[in-house]
Amino acid sequence: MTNTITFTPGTGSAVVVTPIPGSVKAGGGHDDRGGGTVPAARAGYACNGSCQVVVTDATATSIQHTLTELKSLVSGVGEGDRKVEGAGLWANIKSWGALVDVNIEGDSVQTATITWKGSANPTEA
Amino acid sequence: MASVFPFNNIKVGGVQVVGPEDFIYGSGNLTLAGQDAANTTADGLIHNFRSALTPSATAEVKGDKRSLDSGHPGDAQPWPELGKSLSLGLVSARDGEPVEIKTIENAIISVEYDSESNRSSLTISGTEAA
Repeated sequence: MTNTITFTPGTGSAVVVTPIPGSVKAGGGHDDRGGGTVPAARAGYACNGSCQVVVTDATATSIQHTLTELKSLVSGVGEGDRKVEGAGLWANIKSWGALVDVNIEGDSVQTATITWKGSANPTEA
Repeated sequence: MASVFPFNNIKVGGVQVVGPEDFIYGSGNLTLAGQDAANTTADGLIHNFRSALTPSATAEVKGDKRSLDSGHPGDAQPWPELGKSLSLGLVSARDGEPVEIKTIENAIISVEYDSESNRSSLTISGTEAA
């Protein structure tokens, strides 16, 4: 079993990335209301997360990803439409209707941080 | 694998304003994100929405580059200055031609010079072509 995360847009091709071990984060970002003297409530349950991948300007491999691949991950204008689903170690990663951002950093080993913010989807979970 | 990813070259209006010889090694940072909002519906689901793409970039370059600031008084363009099309490129070989990494439209450049390190911090923000 490979340890990957798949980003599937509403239309177009899915992109499968192999996160750098230890870089995957998930959780938080829920829509909480009230609190303090007012009873707290969680109005919406978010499925947000991020991971880092290695970037290459040469040929993509299963663990190195090209700029073209990474650019295709970024959500366009409109409703969030990405389905995010992990496999292997990351099988607990799931998100629906997600917006995806990408941040590419320099230094000596090039990495990109992929961030997604989506929702739970009880009918598909 | 290039060691200066994601970019080491900046062109404004097709003219190079910063090249690899000025870039501080590894300082380039490119963020591809958007202007987002969220609506939570009564079934407990969060619906995220992106109203615009807002790419941005940061980099550090050698020397005092405040003349690159958008609306710099030394420019012919009077204040206020509209953002310009800006291209981030990667030169992967000495004296090579830059390969375009990302074009940012309506780009505004902000520069802060630090005399202690003799570096300028560039912050670039803009939008995507419609």
